[in-house]
Amino acid sequence: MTRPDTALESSSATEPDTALEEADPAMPLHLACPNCGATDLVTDAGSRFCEECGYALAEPVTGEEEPAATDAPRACVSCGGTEIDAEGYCTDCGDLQPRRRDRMEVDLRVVAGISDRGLRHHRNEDSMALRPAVTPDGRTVVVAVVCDGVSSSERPDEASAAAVSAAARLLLTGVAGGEVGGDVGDEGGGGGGGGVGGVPGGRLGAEALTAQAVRTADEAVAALSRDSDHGNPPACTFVSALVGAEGGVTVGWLGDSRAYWLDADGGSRQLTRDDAEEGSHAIEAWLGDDSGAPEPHVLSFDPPGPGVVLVCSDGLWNYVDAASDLAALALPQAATEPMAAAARLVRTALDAGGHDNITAVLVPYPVPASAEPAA
Amino acid sequence: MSQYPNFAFEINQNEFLAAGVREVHAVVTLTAAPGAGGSSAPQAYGSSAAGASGKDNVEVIIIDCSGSMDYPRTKMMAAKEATRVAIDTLTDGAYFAVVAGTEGARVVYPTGGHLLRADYQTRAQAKDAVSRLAANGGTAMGRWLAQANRIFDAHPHAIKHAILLTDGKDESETPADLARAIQSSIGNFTADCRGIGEDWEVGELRKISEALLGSVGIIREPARLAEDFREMTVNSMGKEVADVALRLWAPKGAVVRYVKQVSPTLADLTGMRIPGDNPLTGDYPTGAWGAETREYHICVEVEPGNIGQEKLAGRVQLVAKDSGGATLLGEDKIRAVWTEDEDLSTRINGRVAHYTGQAEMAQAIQEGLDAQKAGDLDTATARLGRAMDLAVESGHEDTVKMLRKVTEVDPATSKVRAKAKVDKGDAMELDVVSTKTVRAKRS
Repeated sequence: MTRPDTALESSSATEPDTALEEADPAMPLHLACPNCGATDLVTDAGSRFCEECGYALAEPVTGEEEPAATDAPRACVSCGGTEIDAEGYCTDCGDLQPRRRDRMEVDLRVVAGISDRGLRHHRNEDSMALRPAVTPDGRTVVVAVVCDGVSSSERPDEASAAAVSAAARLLLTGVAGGEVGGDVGDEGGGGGGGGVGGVPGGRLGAEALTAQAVRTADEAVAALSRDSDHGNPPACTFVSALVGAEGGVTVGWLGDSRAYWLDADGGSRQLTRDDAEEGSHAIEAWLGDDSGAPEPHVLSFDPPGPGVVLVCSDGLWNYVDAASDLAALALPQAATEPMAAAARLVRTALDAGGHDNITAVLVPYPVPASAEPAA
Repeated sequence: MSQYPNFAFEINQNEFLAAGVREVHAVVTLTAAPGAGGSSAPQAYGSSAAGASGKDNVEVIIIDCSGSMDYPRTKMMAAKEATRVAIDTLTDGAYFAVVAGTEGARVVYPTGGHLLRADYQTRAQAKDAVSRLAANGGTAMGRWLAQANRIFDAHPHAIKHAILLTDGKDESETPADLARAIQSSIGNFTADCRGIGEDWEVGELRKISEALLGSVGIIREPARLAEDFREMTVNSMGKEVADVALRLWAPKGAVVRYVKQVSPTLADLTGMRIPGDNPLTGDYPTGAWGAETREYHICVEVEPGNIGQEKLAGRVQLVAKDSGGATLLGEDKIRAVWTEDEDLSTRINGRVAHYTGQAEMAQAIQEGLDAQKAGDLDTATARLGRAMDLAVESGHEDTVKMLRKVTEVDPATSKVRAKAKVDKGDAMELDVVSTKTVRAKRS
């Protein structure tokens, strides 16, 4: 199967509205397989595996994946030395090379994100998971999840990694119309499957799906707890966005990770409201064994026009809090090159001190029906 | 299966450093398990171990035969008796020699130019030669060491150990002569040194024993010498592996501030570094090992990293050098992680702190004794008082006992002060014990 050339023009972000309307609903989404790198990958409505390697397409991309074996060995980031020992230390200057989690970058064109250790923490306790999915009726919905491990808990990095994967997997499956379990279908107002596209009242479906994703992530983090955690089981925050769900945006969150709507027309705003006292970093809700199964906050938002959805951890918004300031930094680049814009946001936080882990995921809106494969 | 004993390898450190800190400290604890062929228990008279594990022992006993050994005559008599006991303690099959040290160094046994293995006959011949030793001449310990070096040269891969006994100062050669002889012996053999009486210099013997990775001891009662010689010989015969080195890699631009043995005794190995194949690597000799535990304090100065950066400040390997090159016996890492978290960076590693205190105690004792000898009682009081605090704090009872002999409690302040007059032997005994450390408690 090949992609019609016209799709390239029609998906141009400078004419997003027409692109969305003119797109053939049956148009397949073109992507690189995150596992084998096959670029002729085609995700039809309903197909959930890479035809080349069988990789499950409900598997989100986190940036933590093993690099391809063909990647050239890397030089030492500190001294340029060419030999890195089996434990990751440079055999010249001794510096431990960045671990994969220290700087995770994912560029899928329709969504891009960076998660960075920052300058003051010795590990990155943030995680992200992203990926577009295609609804049974052929629309593209982008899934983005960011979680920030609670530093005072045990193994916060494992907590956030487990949470983003569990939530994104459920969201991707749900969007594609798969069975996700739970009571999503009921809350979705009847109609089969519980998927975003498969449910007549699609918005309600997206909200119910989001709530289910939070619960699933909560269970995944709770499953990490051990007796030896001494009352500090792994814990993390949560924020997710479904962008393109029935043409809108649905966000869900717990804690102080945020979603913003950014546009160039003065409509930029923070979509989430922190579970924390103003100016305090003591969050009042989280995921994990001691979360008390809190009711997640879920809301939907009708974008007034083209823009970009930013999903981020407090390592970013500690330095740039106001939606208009974030918009000024990210736009207009974010609309066409979300990866470069995410890099700019993260760089801003690093230059300002980088005291916490920084994660920024950008989803241009509207979501094109078809996208170029990632390079 | 390796012919070497198994080594347990442990590194204790606080790897977390505040911003800008360059010094990284670590204590390496090495424990050799009893080897397959040998036994850690003291061996009985004439017991046979040679050949069983394929190792060869060479023992050279150097006896001071300067004229003063006859004043009093009990010194020479005790030296002869102790040497006979040592010969009887050798395991069957061990090579051995007896050297009479004066301004020269004469091999009194064997006389045929090459070493013989210990058996009934060679022991009897050697003891006979020892009985004919006479005290007559000077003292040139550098020449004694050079003679031992020549004897050992014929047995490059054996476990080589010397016992050196003297009663006086190194008067028949210059200090530079002695230093040169010590330098050319480093890494070739190990030596335990003993001084009998009170006319020898603790500092002089310590230079030899520290460089040759052995102990220094004072014999105040000649009757105790034989038992001491027996113990040293048992210990030497119990060694399983001849030539073991600490191989230290440090990153480019780093400075190895020191590598010190800190248990069971203090010995600075820093100057004994032998450059490795790679310019970042060097070997520090640790001599021969039996079933025993030793600890080493390593300090490396590195270029500080950014907050959050982790650097490998050192990779420590234990290697046995043998005819086949070198065999790796164990390894571990010294890490450095720069952090702004003060809870982490101010954490004290108990073992590093303990041995830092033991080294300070040794230095305070030696400085205090020097000041006391020179009549500077204020300095002596300050230094010996500090040593007393550290000795009490670390539970070093031998040192506390000996410090009491050279100090008294000032009735006005109830504080320790240096005595104006002390017994010379007491001061020497304290000096000798100053470099013996107590083990850090398990944390």
